[in-house]
Amino acid sequence: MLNQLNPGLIFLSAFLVNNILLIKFIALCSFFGLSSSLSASLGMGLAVVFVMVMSSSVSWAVYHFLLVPLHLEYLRTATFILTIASLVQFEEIIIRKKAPTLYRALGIYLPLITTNCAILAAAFLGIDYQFNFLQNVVYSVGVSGGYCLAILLFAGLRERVSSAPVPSSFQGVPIAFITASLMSLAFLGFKGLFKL
Amino acid sequence: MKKLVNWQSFTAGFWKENPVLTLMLGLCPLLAISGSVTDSIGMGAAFTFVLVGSNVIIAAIRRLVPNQVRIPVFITIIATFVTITDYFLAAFLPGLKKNLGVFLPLIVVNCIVLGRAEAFASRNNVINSLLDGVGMGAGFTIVIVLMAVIREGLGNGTLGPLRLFGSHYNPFLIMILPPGAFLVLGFLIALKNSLSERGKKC
Amino acid sequence: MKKKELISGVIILLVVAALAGFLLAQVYALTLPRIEEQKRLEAEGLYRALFPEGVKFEPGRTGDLKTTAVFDHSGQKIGLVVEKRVTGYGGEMLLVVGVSPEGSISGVKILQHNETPGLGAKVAREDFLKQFQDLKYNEVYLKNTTPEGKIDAISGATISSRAVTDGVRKVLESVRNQPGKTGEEDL
Repeated sequence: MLNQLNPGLIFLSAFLVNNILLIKFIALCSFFGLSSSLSASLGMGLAVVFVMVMSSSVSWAVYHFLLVPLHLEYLRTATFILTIASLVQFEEIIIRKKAPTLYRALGIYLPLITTNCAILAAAFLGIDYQFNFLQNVVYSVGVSGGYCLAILLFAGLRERVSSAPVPSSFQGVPIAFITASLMSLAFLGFKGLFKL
Repeated sequence: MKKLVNWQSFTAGFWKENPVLTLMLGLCPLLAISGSVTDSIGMGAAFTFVLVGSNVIIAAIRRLVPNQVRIPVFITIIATFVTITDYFLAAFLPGLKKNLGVFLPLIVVNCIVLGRAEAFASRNNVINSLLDGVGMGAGFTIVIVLMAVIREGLGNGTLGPLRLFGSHYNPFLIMILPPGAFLVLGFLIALKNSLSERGKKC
Repeated sequence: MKKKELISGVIILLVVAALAGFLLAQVYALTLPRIEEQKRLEAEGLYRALFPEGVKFEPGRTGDLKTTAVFDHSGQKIGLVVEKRVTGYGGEMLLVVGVSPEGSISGVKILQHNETPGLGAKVAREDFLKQFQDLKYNEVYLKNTTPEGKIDAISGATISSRAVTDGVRKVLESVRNQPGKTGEEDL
């Protein structure tokens, strides 16, 4: 299926056509909770790119070199999430030591990423789509890039919406959802890209 | 002192602390699965099973688990229940498992499950944790099924196996598609806000 | 104090993980036969939808397409089920085409697709797919492309309709190019 396309198409599919937030609905908690400020969103977005690419790659390796040969595929849910949790811990320690400015920029978002649905989803989907290692990397870059794009666009829109007159029961989250609905509608337009 | 059986733990999940409409948690599966009534019922059931199961086990061993390792322990327990549900569905309801797709394993990182484990089950006894699980699960299921009724009813003219309108009905397509999901949820939350005159964020 | 806590913490974690792993292994072993059965039933259900008298099924290949030969209870070959992947409007589609020994189409089913619900997705419905039954090779075209084309596209979903039609035609082509496999004559 997807694994027979060239890397460029895999990337495009993950980045736009099947955007993880607006089309696949994954990682919404972080989407709505954070995106009220552009800088926070950028921080989260970059953190996600970093973590997702690493954890997708490690999960892929663990699955194909450890779980499959030992016929332990049923442990994949538990193994993946524990891998992600450990990786995040590990990355936090390393970044704190080696790149303190980056660490400060990412702030609390780094540990928060463990529960980011998108990270786990990308790991799972990389296996389900039967990618080889390189395709998996391209895919995770596309997915995290798409997440970044959506979250930034959304933050920008919300900053604009917050200064607009909105009925009281719609204020805050409801109007955010309606904004997201319109964004999602726009992204639906990318569906025809495959035919290019 | 805490009561042995606190029925409020059960009722809170329905309205006041409805995980979706008030606490704004667990959104991912909500939006993705609410396009179909039958899938939503299945999702609600699977979710409640995992929530209740992990709540009960975590409450049972809460005094044995030291602080530093509690998150990995919770995650392991939750992941176990999710995997059980996964294989159970694969064996007996493969159609549902196919429709739930990646959202079934995603229950592991569902904010609601982990959140309740951390905020409630690790601090309350087994019975109350069980009630909390059932209440929150029911609250989630009610919302997702309600959304599905609106989305599938308007977007497809059906409610599971029932045809709602005649075959001439031109479905309100957008409801079934992603934008419709955001739209319906936005309106539902606005409705709840106006009903309880409150607006909170996750 | 802290070190003791850490050690007991790790021990608890290992115990929990071991118990979990054990429990999961049991669940896996218990459900495995049922899961295999489900997969088998699903595949056979599909083959029988295309060839109702089929009882025995043999996987194989024709060119680079996955095929399954269908035999009835007397051992006679009654058809070939061919899987074909095509690119539709929204992405890849998985078609399954039943070809009878005479080379005609016994049925078409769509197993997976990414088409727009309510528009392109309508190509997965029976009322579109039954148009393919018993068609000859040169009739497997959309009505307005060739004079002999017999397929009505779904209005508003020409790309999806064309993808399916072309896919079915390519299946016939591939099967045709293997004379003796299905025993049909040149059309």
